[in-house]
Amino acid sequence: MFQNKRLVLTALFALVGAIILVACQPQVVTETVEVTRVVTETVVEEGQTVEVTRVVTETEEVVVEVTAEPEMAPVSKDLVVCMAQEPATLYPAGGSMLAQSAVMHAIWTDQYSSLSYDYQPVGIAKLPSLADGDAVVNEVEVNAGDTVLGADGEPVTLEEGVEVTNAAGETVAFDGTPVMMKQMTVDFEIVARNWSDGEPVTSADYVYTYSVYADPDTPASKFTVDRTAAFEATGDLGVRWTGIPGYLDSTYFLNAIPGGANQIFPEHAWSQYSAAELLEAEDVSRSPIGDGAFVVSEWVAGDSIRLVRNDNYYRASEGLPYLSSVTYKFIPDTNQMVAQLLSGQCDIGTQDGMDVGQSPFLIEAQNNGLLTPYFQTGTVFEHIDFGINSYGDYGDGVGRPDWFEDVRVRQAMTMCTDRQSMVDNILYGKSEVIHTYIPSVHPLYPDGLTEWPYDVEQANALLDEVGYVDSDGDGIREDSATGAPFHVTLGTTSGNEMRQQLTQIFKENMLQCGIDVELYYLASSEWFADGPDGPLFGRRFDLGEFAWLTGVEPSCGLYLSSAITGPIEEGFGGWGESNETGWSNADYDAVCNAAASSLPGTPEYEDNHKEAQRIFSQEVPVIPLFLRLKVAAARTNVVNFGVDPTQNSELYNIYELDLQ
Amino acid sequence: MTNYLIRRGFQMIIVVIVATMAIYGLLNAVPGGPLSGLNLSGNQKDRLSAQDIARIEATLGLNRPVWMAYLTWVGGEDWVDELGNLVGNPDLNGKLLFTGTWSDYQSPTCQQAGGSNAGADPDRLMPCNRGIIRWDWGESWSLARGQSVSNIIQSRVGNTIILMTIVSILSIVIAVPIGIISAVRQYSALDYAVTTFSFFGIAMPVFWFGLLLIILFGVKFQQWGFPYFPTGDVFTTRVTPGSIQDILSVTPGTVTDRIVHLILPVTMLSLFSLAGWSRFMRSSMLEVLRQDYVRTARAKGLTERIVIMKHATRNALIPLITIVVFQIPDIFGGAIVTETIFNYPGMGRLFIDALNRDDWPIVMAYLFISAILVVIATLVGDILYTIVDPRIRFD
Amino acid sequence: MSVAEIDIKALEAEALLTDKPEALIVTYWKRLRRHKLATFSLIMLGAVILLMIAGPIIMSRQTYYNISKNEETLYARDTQDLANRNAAPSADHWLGTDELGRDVLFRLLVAGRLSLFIAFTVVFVRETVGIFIGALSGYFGGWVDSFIQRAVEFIIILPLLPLLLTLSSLLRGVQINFLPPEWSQAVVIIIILSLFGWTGAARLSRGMALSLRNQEFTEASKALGMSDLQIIARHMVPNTLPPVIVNATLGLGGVILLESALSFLGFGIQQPVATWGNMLQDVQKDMFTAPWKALYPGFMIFITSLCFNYIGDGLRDALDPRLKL
Repeated sequence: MFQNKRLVLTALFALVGAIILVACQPQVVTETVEVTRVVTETVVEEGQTVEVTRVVTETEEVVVEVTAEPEMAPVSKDLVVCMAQEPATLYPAGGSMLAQSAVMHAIWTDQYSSLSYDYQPVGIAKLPSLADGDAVVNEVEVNAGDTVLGADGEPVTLEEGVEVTNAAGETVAFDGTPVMMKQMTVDFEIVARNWSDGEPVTSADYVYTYSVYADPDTPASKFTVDRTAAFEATGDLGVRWTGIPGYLDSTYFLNAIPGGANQIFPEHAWSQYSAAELLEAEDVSRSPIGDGAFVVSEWVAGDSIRLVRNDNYYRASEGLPYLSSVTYKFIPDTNQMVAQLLSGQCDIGTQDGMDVGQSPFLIEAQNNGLLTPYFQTGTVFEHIDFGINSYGDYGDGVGRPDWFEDVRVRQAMTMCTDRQSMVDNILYGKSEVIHTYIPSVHPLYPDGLTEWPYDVEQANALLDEVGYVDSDGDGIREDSATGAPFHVTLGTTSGNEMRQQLTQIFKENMLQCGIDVELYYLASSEWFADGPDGPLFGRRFDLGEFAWLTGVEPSCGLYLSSAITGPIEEGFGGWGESNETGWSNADYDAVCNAAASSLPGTPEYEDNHKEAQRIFSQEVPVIPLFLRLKVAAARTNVVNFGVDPTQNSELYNIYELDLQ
Repeated sequence: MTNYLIRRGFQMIIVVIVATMAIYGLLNAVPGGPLSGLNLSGNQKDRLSAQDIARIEATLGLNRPVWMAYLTWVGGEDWVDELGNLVGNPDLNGKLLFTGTWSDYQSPTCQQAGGSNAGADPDRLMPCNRGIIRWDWGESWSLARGQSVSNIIQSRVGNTIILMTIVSILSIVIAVPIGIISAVRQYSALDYAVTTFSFFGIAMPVFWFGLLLIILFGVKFQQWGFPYFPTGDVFTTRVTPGSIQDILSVTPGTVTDRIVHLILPVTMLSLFSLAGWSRFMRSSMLEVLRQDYVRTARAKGLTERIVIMKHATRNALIPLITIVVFQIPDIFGGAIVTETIFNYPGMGRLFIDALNRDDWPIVMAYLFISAILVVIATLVGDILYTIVDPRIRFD
Repeated sequence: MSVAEIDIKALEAEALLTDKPEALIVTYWKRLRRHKLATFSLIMLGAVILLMIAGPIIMSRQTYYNISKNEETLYARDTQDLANRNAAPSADHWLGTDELGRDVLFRLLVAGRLSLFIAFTVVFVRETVGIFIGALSGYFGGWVDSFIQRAVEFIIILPLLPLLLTLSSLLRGVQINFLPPEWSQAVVIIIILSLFGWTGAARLSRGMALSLRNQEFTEASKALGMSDLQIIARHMVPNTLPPVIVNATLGLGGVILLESALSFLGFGIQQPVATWGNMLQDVQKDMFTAPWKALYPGFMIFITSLCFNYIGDGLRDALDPRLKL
């Protein structure tokens, strides 16, 4: 009965065997060699006989003699990094995927690293600062027609009636007489290095990079570009950034490439393309020339990118990079990635591919000496936003009772959420509860913060105080005015295990306070769609859970009144803004704006940021839940690898990674 | 017959056109779209302004009205500015932000080239999209920025065709005999075994079987010291000691390497197809065996073998044709879950990645090719009906 | 006639008359009962459904010790016990607990209600619709056939995922008043899956109808004056049943798994409502540590599919027009 199957299998094995036999035959190896010769010819040209010397390149087939390998061949160290996604492009201005950053760290030398809540210079010699004198604030006279920063924070051409903040700090309306305003100038010194094709890196490359980012066809934010008066070379290895009058950039030391990212473009190779063409040119997006430790050797679409050591790397004298080659593989399935880590196919599994749900298995693997897992909290945090002021006829007493208007309701719901159990159970205790929008180890973390405890009794007492009582004994409170039960919806993205679990825990928690929460999950592109269509940013939601991608600086600007999403004609910030809660607090606005316009290191900067957080934690427009965990794994023989809280990609130091 | 084929050909073209129009409309109707989620950075300086987003829209061609976007996908965009000038450049979508004319509806590279491909460097990508009529499938938006869709599909289609063809052939070759034997020996031990096995296969999700195979033959075999299979991929990146590639001294990139990597996914997919197809074969065999002509054949004194082989099987194949013929679109389309679990870069994974990341050029290309294959499959099925069952005639 | 004379003719006449032609349904039922495996499967399926319905009702009156709440709580679908997650089977939890500490057995039974409701309804509706449309298409031929087949191709070509995403956003708020919310979501899923799932049965049915319509019995039926619809109902449809029944039994498990994939994408049944499908989805991250967890819902799907298959076998035999009782 099974004969058919057995026959087929035998045939298959025979076939496989035959193929192997064929493949194992010794072969004669020939090589195509280019031979360059100088040839002298006699040419008749315009009646004259001329001797012409030409250089001729011909190709020949040469049989390669296989010689015995020399005894002491250098050990080839090949690292395999496994990521979940394939970068769309390697052109730095073409995208911002984490997978792309991981590869770009190998091809380029970054200008900065952002380790441990601070910045460090890499491609520039030092971080300029006001104290050292390489950053200066001058007072300049501005006249009509100059581009300056208006009092509202937007760049504007100076003319009659425009309001600006002058050098003394007063807001004045321009009336024709020249105004004195503060202008910042920052000098950067470039570390001497070469491109992978041997050409030296000069300040011309920096200026070229800036011009590309300033081009309207480059899809990057023009925030800094619009506030840059000039960016020019001051010698071969120096550049100077000058801001528009009135603009004091709080991260001025990051303006080595104003408006740009961390990588400079080779002017000698790319200036032939327009900015729009750069987005699509093959040699720019698939095998760009960089100044880093490695060069792209081969990109097998859908499979892997292979890079080899750059012989022109400026730190080659130190023996860097230790690795001979790096291969980035793309493995979208987490289980497959773990299997490949275990079998030795992958040396590193990056955070976009590893899942926090794998933690128990990873710890077990660590105990067996197979893998080293890395658990690191960063700055990204999950939060549940209240739909305090909805848009149009959705809520605010029109569609539903204005549940979250009263701050006591928000505080009660925060106290009713068992955030620590979320951390313990979903993140295996490897993260921490958060009370503001930055983690507790951040230098700008304030004291005097209101840290709401998990206290169900107090929460229930507060809700009783507000007037939402359960009158019909079903366990759910009602609105005394309309009799409507306290029933709200909580939405987040679908397909995310962590969010599914935390929303279910939240639902159970709310039941203890007499609030009925209905969960719904949307595809992320639907959830994050801009208003007026998107539920979240269109301000048509009750509760919404997601995470902002925050960085080193506290992002107080997310919750400004001026950032409330909505049509500009109706006085809101536009549909592309960030404050979808609709929360508006004048004190918070004042301190946050003051912090944004002051410079780091000044007491003004620190105090205002801290005060903003105190107000935030007291008013709780959102329930900050916990810090998201970055999980990565590496085999035990990988040296110098680590995950940093504020450095986005864990491959930032690929030039010093090593294999034992 | 020729008349019939001509009529069918005409209908096929109509179906494909209507289907692509519907799909294009559907993609536009899906809430969200390629522009959502661009602004999730908390950092003020990284946030894109409305102007920036308008620029991105123009690059992707999303500032056009739907019908124009569809027509440019079909016919290219170098005629858009001329058409605009003809009809007076009405602002259809409120998105003519830069020049106020219909050149704003062209992509930035096309605008810079003056709205036509004349004089463009043939070695580089053409500035203006020429449409599928001129075999320009566009460039990917988000999976492989700037790469032409035809290159992307070409790089993956080979893998999928190899995998699915092997699976189809293997499944048919095994399913038909098993189905026949199960029917001939209904309710025997073999029949029960096959039935139980088939239904167990359907009850458990694909990823479960796939991962069990990977864990057993990949991870566990390695722990126990047996020659272990590769857990996925098409070729080997690195030969690790103790693996099958190591033991057989397989060079990465060769046919043998491919075969070694295909063993696990092919086994899994074949078992799944087998389960279903053998049941169909069994069921139709059972029907056929009850027919009068079978009884007649037996009464005539023919051996059981000839009765089954010559008379019953051929008639029992009809329902199977219906199902097997729809493998044709699948051979191109691939198997999404299998390709994801086994990290096999094929068309199925390409499609689902493109859908998730709103890469419409790739999605449209994939669905267009899929549409053509579906209509071809139906035609092949109908023709096969007439061959297998002479009683079937189309008028 | 006197009483003593027995009227033989009348007795005979009566004897003949008592052999009333019984209803077709009764014939089918009797034939089905003769098929022992089908009968056994029918009983088994009935027992499973009874378990689904009655089990949770009984269990919800029992209590177990909830560690995190430190008290005896009633069994329920949603009650979490975060101090007792992923527990092994014990006296309190016969099948252990899931990743939020909820009792797996209770969830399994409650999930069965929804999963079976959706699966059986979808399969029934789409196979029935498919059979009739396919039979119509194959029997009439000509432009009816062409039109229906082109429509079938069109539906097959449409990509499922964007379709569902669009429909889900349109139908999100749909509530059927007298049903709990997850059941109205279930009805929405049933409508969607049936609407786009009948093509398989239609093609199978058409194939059979094509080969049957040129046979002699069709001509004979026409000669007897049967209308087209009667011929389709009495001859075409029963003969197309065998492959369609196989399609149905194979499809049952598929619908359950498809529904879970959909809810994972945010469409349809949402957490914390349990279905067998989404209980299976949750296992994906535990494959390295606890792959056997998939067997609980998987086994339930297996049993129901198998029983349904044997009932299908019996049905096919029972409805076979060629059999004489």
